Amino acid sequence: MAVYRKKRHALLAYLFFAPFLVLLLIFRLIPFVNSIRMIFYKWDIFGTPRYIGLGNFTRMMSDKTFWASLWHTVYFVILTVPPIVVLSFLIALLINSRISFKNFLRSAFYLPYTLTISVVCITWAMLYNPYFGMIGRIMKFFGLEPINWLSDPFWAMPAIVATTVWWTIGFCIVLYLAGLQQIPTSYYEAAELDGANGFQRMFFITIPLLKRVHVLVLVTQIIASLQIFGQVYIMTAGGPAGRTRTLMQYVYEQGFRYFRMGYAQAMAFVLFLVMFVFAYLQLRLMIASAKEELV
Amino acid sequence: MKFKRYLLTIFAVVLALVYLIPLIWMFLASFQSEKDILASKWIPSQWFAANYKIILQRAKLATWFVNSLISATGATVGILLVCIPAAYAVSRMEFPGRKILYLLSLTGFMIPGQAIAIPLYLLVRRFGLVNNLLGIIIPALPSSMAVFILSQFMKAIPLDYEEAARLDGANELDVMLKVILPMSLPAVVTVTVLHFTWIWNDFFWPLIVMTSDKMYTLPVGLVALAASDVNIRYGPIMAANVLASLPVIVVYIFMQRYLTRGVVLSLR
Amino acid sequence: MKRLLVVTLLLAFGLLALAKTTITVWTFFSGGEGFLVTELINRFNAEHPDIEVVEQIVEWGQLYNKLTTAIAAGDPPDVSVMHLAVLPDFASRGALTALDKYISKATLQDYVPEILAKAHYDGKLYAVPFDTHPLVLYYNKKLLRQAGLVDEKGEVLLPKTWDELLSYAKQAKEKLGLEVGISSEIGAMMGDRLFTTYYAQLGGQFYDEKTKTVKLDPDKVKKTYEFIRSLYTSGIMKPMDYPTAESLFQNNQSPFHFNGVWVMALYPTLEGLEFGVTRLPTIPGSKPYTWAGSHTWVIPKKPKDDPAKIAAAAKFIEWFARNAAEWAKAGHLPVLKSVLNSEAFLGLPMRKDYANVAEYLVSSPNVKGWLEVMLKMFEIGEAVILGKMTPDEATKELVNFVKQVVED
Repeated sequence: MAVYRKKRHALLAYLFFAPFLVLLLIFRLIPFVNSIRMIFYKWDIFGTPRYIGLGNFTRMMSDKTFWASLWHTVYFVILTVPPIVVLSFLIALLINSRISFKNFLRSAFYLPYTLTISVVCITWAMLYNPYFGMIGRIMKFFGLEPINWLSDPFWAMPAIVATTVWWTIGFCIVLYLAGLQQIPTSYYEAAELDGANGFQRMFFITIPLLKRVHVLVLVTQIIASLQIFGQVYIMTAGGPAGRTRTLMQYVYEQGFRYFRMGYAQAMAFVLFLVMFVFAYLQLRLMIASAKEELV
Repeated sequence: MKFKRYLLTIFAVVLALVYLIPLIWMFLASFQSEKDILASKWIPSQWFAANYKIILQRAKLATWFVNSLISATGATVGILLVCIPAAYAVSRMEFPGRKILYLLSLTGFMIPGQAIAIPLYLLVRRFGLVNNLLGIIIPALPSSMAVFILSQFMKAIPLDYEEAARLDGANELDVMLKVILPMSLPAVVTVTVLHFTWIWNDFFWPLIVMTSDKMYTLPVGLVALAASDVNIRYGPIMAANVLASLPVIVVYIFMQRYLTRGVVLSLR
Repeated sequence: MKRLLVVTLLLAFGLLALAKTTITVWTFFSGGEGFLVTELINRFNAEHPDIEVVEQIVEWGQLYNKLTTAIAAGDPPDVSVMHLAVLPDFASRGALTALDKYISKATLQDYVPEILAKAHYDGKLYAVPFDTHPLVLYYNKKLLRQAGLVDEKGEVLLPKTWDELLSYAKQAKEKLGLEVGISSEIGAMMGDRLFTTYYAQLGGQFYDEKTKTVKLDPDKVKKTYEFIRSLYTSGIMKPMDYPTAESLFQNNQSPFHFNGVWVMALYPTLEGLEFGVTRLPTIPGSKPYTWAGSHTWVIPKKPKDDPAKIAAAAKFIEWFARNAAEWAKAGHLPVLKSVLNSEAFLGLPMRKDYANVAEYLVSSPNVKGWLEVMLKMFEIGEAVILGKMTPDEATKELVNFVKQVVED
């Protein structure tokens, strides 16, 4: 009797898992395998694919735009992630401290996160407009010459970063708030009794105990930033003069505008390798923290 | 002490208001005529509701909104239908190969959507799902994130509840639907909100998959609007932005209580 | 018996009505232009009860992507709009249906000659052009009068040479305290269209007849980039995007404006804008070449040819070209001589002021890969304007890139 139940049990389990598995296979694993294959071919969507071995990679090596795009992506990650982590932590601390209007504050900071990317980018692009945008007007008020942010080769990327940070930290603040609320106040009270001041409490209690959140925010933001496409595409289309073009945008252009499918995929693969490192880290950390929980 | 509290509160509130300035401006600008916008005014010299009329008449805003709604809702519901049983199986059932299937389900984390966008597009095209909302919904269904969050939560539910139900004669399906699922509500809410937001805000994939402007989702449509129509300038574009944002803001205000709770609980 | 006959006849008519051929047409025209196209399509449908043309608007920047993927997937529209410049990219790949046997000789002979040649590839006709749209100079009458740039009769002074334009622009800008003397978008407008205009006026060629390849004259390319850069270093022009450039001009904040004729669908309707339009200035001693693009209709290739649909599609596009005087309300110049000289066209506001531009139009060479080169030109143009590339570096970059793409 027990064996029969176990068998049916197993069958049922497979059944439960089957739809997910089938869809995963078809829409993730198979395209993934294909994506690796495509790298070795030249194909322009009209004709038949032609095997060219490592041809796409040799092309990549000498392609100035590829290297520039790769750098722009990395530059974006470097500029974006630290402010997101630090600012969301600090603002969460602020909201969590002994002040009033907590609900209003939490909603206010989260609100931008609920907006669609297009709304955020179109609005900010207008704010950045040097001829009639609000930022320009405020600069004029202080006697400064308005900067043409999105057309300035130096400022364009930082401007896009600022918009991204504004858009994203809402969610990270919520994560930090959740983490902060889990720290028992007794820890702080004990520390205060021991004579620790505000800063010491933050450095020795708060920050270490939020390790899981730090890591979660850090890794998810790095992975998301590496894939950056929308904000740049909408605000500068990779300009000015290609100075903000990210790797994903270059992949999109080569693949969907000039139809160099194999080449585009080869570059996407490079991006994937970079992300793989972080995705693997994220996975290990998630499993580790999950294991912790079950003990 | 109380003084410090007042000071911090004022600082925090001012900070929040400054933080919201872009949103406030967006709202005000949607009521301004082009002259006002070009003069960088804050308050419109007269409240120009015509922008809203223009945008509603000229742009397919309602269509795009419906497209986004259908695809985000359809995908979210589909994800729950597909991933809840999978998570349940992998977290609360014993069967040969469970560990392998669990690891397999996590591979989705390693495969970022944009790395496979091109072959995925070609595949979707072969299925005839290009320019179709199903082309957004179906590929979104196998979500490793959903399975992970759900299974993590389900694993932590004590066996007692399940055993009690089984003693009462419940079968596997009953246990899943009537015992485990209700207790996993915070995780379900988190998964729902996360995925709904992701799919609603997705820009890259709908950009590739949709070919006619009738099928655009809201983000893609808004950008197309801002980029191409020569007659629709700044005021109406801002009106479009406001209209596009209102529903989500409203939903958030309702859901926010659940969201924080859900996040807190799934962080544990 | 009679009843049966009547019923059969009715049925037959009913079936005939049902036997409408439906044609999908992809366009990227919006706003004022879009209305004109829709009106024309409605008129065609009314005049041809056996054909129904259904319009599909695709966003300007996405049309070629989507068209290519649709053709590759085997379900493209029956008709699509296409810039003449991009024709070789598609025709060379076998993506289009040859039209020689579908368009009437009368129409073909009516064409302004240079245009028709470009609509061919490898000896076959692949496109039916229905307009040409040159780059022109817009000027704000109110501002110029305020700046005192009028002659004895009180008429606004029109610059005939580049030097004249720059001096007028400078004068107006300084006297009226404006942001710019000329407003224009920097990528496409300056990097490609103005570039091509000035380069051609210098006598530069794009196409080498002997070797049948794209070949640029590096010396003249460099001079052109130097000229473009000078416009910005002098402060007369400032980098901006397309909507901003238009807004500044429309709201009386810039005395001059570079743009194509396509805005003529909108500008005359704007209250408070008193403007004129004329051909671009010339380098003294050279022919008044101006950049112009051209819109055409093409019939994409399907895996299996449907002769009824192709015939209906061909009928539509030929009809459209013949009725282009209506379309010309959008500002474009017709390309059929009969239409160009018709009352319907010449009677439109201000057309007489720039119809003469049609004589010296320059457009892209008829080679595969030009789309990519063109987009690269936008970028290089921006780099030069922003001071990120010297004219010398830009020249090398462009020449090399062209060589690369053509060889690909």
